[in-house]
Amino acid sequence: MSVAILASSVRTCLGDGERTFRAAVEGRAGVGQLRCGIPGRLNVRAGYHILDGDQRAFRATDWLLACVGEAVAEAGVQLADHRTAAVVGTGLRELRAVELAVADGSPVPSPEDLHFETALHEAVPELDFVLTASTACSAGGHALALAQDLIDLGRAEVVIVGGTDGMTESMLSMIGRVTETPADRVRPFDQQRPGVLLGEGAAALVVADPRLCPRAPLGHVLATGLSCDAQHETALDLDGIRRAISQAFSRAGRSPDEVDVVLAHGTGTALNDPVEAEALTATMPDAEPAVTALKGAIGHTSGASALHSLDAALRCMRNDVVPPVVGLRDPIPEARSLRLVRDAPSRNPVRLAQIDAFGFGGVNAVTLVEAAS
Amino acid sequence: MTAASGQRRTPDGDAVAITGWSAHVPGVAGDDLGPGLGSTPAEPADQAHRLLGRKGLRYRDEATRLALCAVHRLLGLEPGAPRRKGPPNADTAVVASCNLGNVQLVRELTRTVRESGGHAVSALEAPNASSNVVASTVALWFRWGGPNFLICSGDRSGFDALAVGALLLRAHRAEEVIVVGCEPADPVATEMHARHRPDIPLRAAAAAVRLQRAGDLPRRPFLLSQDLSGTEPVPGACGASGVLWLAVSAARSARGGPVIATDETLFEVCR
Repeated sequence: MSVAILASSVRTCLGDGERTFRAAVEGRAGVGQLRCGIPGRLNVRAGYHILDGDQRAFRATDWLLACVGEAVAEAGVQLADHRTAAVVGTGLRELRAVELAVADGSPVPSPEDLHFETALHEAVPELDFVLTASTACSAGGHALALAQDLIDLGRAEVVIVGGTDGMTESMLSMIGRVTETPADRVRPFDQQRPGVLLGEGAAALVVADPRLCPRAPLGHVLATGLSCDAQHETALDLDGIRRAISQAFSRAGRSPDEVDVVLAHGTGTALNDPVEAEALTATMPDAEPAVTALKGAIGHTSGASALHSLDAALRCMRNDVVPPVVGLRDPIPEARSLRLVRDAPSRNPVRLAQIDAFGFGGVNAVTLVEAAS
Repeated sequence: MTAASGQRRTPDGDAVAITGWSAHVPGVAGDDLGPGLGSTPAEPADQAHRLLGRKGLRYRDEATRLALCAVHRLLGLEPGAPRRKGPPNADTAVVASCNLGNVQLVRELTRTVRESGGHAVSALEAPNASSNVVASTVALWFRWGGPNFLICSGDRSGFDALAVGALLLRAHRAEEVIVVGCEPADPVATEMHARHRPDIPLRAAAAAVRLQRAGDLPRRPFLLSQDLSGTEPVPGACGASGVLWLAVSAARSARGGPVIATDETLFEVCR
């Protein structure tokens, strides 16, 4: 059973959902100088930061709570009248607090500070339970899958799906270690792509049993396909991605030629983009949906990434416009059969969107979202 | 088959059965926790090669090593037995529970970067920096290509991992789910745990269970005894606790067949 999307709230370096989408349509990127860690210590110079003051601990929690508050207010349901749960996806959790304890000698946090459940229960007392999935860069997509299953199986009627991630010096050090020249921005699917950069951000959606909708929903989550490559620790695997895509369509009862837009994972790394382009080409040989990707505009927002793409997909549907891939100049040869949107937005009706999210460790989530009728 | 006293029945089609269980608590013989869990003290993480063999183990962190040991035991493999090769099995999902697996690494990387610069860190640590390394490594090691989750909700995460496993089965996203809970006990993890539970030191531990839909099983399973509800087989095991509780309960209850946990059992005891 599909689930209705009652509300969606996001935070990125470009602002809220409306501002983020408008900036992407206009081809703007929220990249700036790296503001995490000590300048010059990491082989990373740029980042897509939310500019909200100093580098204190628990910013990811603050952004998540802000998005959750907005989404709950927008949803228009009385949570106390329904079995309500929350599922949160995150890659980095609140590991930044562990790092800052090194920096300023403050006490290490408790294990209970690393996840968001305590904060969520306090902010939304109506919650029956919260699940936290730390499934790297596809955690948001994994959270969507669990949320839909909970509603489908009658375990919950309303689910808040959250995603949030900041940056950590440890993850940045890994990015810096595997990059020769520091990237200045993310260029998804570009022949000269310089690599990935992290982006700060959070998102929260409220999804519910369609019979509960107080008014027309924003859209419907049809299905999420999940798979694990189980082949390599960091590199993508074509077979694993294809299984996730195939599962999404079979669970949704739809076919790839119905897709109007693909919000690709598009990290701008050497490995992701060609493999993802091949997977998309192979799974939709007869279709030509518009293909776009957000990371050139907002950076790699890790656990929130799939939910940022979903919010953008809903706006594509509402406005019949698809933003260009910000940062793309010269597409890679593997993408030659794909209709990558570049230089200017594409104006076409959008009813069905595919959202890709592939995480470290080969964890894949592909979600299909449909416009409200 | 008679049910133990105090149990309730649910339709078999809805119920989740536990069809395998294991424990790996360094220094503890599994049989001291429950019958059939192991006659000799379990190896510490730095001796994991005695159970797993050396191939592929070198850069694995403590929590991942313990998780691999627990799953190796779950599968009934002999020490040093070779691992399955071939394409991954997409019908088997992996749900891991772990909170403190990468905290020491994160702290060390930060210190190294600040004192010596980013060039001094080893790129080989990259997989270990990601919090889901336990779940993805178990999948990679044993070739399981189904849904893969890492649950990290603090003390309760083992129970949450079991709930997610049951959900994946009921949603028909997998034919079987391997749920593995683990925690390391390195100095940083120990210090963090002490902030939350100063009275009970962190204990390195791992446990694993196999879950399947009860309706898929060829014969009717036994019902889980509820006498063990609420006990903590190994105090201080944090994210490993929930899975360890279920593994030990199953070991103590089983009389040769799979043990069923009703939805009420999982949720009544765990929540």
